Amino acid sequence: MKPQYAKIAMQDITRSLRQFPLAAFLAWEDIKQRYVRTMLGPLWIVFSTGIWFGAMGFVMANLFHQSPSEYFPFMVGGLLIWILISSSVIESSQVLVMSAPLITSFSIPIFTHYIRFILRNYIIFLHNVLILAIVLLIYPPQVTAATWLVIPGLLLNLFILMSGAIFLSLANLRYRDTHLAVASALQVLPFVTPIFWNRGMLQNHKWIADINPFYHMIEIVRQPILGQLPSTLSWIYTGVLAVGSFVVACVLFIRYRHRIIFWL
Amino acid sequence: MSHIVVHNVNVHYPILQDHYMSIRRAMLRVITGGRLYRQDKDTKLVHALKDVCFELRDGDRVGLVGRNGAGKSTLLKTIGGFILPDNGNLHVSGVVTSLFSVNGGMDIERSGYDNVFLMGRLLGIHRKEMIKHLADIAEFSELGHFLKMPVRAYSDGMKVRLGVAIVTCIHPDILILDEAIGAGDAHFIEKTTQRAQKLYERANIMIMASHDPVILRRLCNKAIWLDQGKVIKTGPVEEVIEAYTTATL
Repeated sequence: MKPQYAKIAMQDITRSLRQFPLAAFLAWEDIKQRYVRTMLGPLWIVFSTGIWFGAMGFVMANLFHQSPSEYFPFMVGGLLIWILISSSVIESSQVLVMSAPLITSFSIPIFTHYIRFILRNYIIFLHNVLILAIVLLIYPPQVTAATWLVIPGLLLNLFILMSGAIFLSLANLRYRDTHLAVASALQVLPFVTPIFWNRGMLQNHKWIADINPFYHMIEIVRQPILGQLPSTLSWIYTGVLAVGSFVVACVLFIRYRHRIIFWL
Repeated sequence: MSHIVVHNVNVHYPILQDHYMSIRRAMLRVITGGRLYRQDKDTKLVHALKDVCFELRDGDRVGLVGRNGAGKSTLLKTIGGFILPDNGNLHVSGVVTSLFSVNGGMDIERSGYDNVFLMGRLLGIHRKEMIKHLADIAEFSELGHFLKMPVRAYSDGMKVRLGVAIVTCIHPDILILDEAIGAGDAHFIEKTTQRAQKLYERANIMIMASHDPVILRRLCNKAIWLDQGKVIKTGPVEEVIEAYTTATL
């Protein structure tokens, strides 16, 4: 690896951060683009997820013999973060392929496209928070000092999703099977991850939840929403995941930043 | 002040073939420790620029001539920072703006107005500044009330008019183009050429690849003749084009 590769990758990232408003503009355009020629506009996301959550919550609370006041905040909190994670992961393998027209014709830093991608997904997440707000109004949770941990939880997830996006998008450039593989893997995950049910229900098989990174990524945000502290295991797991994926992403970005143009 | 120094620049680029993209082969290669499907055998490298040297300063209007595949686009992309030279030195001072197509970044679902700001932003012009150009863009493109409609509803000619009107608003330090801006119906070609010419003159340095000697003679004062990735001749536009046309006849 030539030393200039690191310099080029660093320049790309610093330029993209200096041009943050450009990434924000593009992300915002993506959001607007979704609602062109729709009547309800952003309310669509809220409606569709709202109906889904309401119906699921009602049925699941009965299935699992849980009180709605406990089950609704638990499920809606978990699902919101799951939607953020899964839609980000699915899109992430396509970040570079979708931006190909811009990458090949404008002098925009490559990293700008990753910022655009993560901002877009977090903006959509914020739409959905409206549903959580409604649920929490009906079934108020305890607000404790732990509630503030929502913010570091979301940031830690942002870090992991961003690093994951660099890995998956580069893999997808070389091996176009990647996004298909990712999409099929994600179909199974909501069933094996404690989103609708909790870890305690696994009884003797709690390891199924404990080894699942997505479980911990959900927990570090969901527990604070419910006013509770996430477990130490969740902190360690997501912390290690964030650092590990960050290192891998850095190495890949430095190594392959200058090859991207040839692989599009 | 803009300045470009290209010294002994070499560029290779890989030709990706279908099997290169397959995850199955990649896995086999890893599992068998490279005994099957050696990567270096799969990859074909094209030596697109060979020891290219030249220097450009303010006021240089450079035409790139050469046959298809001579390396003109690769050279433009290298100067534009899209491609990293494998070795040699490339020094560019000044912001490079590339216009490879007038419709780049256009979103057909959005209105003409929205696209003014979208494309302007991609070319590095902020909303506030773009607002000042709005009247001018509307007048030049002759789109009138169509500007409020989605670009999807435009004819190809109208799209080009909008694109030209927008991209000619920029104030580039260094401008690189693949072919001169100019398309549309007879009436519009003349207008476009005039407007584009003003853009070229605003740039400190302009580099344009073109197959049209008439256009190059009119717009450029220098030329570089490339063949199979090598610089054959550089100098005043008249001399280089003369040599190039004689050689290719």
